[in-house]
Amino acid sequence: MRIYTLPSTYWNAYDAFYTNPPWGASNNGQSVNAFIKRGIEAIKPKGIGTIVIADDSSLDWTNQVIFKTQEMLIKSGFIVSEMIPCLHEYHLDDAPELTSCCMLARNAIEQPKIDKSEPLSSEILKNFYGRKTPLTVRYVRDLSGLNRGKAPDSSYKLIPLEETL
Amino acid sequence: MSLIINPKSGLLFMKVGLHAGETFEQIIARKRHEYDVAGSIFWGYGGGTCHPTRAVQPFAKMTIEEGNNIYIVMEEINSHHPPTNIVAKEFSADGINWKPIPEGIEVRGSRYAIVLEELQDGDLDIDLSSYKVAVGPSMGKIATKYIGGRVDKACIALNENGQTGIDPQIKKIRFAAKIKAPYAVFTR
Repeated sequence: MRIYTLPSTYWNAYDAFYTNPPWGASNNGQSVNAFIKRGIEAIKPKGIGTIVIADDSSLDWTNQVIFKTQEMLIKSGFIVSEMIPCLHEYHLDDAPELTSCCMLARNAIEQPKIDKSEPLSSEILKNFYGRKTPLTVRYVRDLSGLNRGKAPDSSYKLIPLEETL
Repeated sequence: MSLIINPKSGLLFMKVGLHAGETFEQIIARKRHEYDVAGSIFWGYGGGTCHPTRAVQPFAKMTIEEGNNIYIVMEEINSHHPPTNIVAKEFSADGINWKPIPEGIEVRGSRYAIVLEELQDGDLDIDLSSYKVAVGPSMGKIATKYIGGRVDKACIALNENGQTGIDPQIKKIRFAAKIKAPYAVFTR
């Protein structure tokens, strides 16, 4: 996701978007909405979106984030056309039983084509990955070079067979 | 002797035992020596439940901002962990900027370390049903429903809502230590 703005090349260019965003547990769903906002900017009128977010009725924050997500979608001219609750498990060490829902949204009220992509505010970035866990990394640079997909040289050593007579 | 910890303190609950070929008693002796020499202890750990920058550091900062301290509390268990001779050479508070491990400190077979003041020993009973998970995707869950199985450590805070209707689960703590800045670090 481009943090500051979505480049104009991508505006209203696609039929659909899919996102599996950060939890949004500590900023009232704003991390989720940030990803959906970029998805909406990227799709054509009458486009669709698929959103995978946490869904666990025993955790209040997931209910609040789902509510905020649906509210944002409606305000953006979308309806939630289908939702499969508690569909997947994340298999996380720190939340072994946490499940996610799959939400499908369809553009029902056509919005004007975008002519501007707004940057995310510093308020949204502050608790982006959890309380006091701001978004600080601009991007991840792949340093694997020609060794891409292979174990780094420093992580192993080849031990030759003993010479045989 | 009793261990005294203010109930409003933040706790990093951790099950401890044999690790990397050392018994718990050997680890305690080595870590006490570490404190004598270096003035800090790096308590090595691993797993995904108390990530340095996503869990421990935010939890510590929140707790301290609220005017409370944060402690590690250790429950001793029988554990199995393969011997290793891998000793960390560097540490980092943010995973980006790395420094040499300070003189006198040794972290064996661990990806992360909690930074501690002096280890205190004694007796302390902690009722996990009175605590809730304080950070991360399981935030708000009662600690007894979270700690168990492969979850052997957690950042927990007193459940201010009081009654949970959940049976008490008392944990016997023999060792504790105040956690100090930078609270948790990566090691390599």
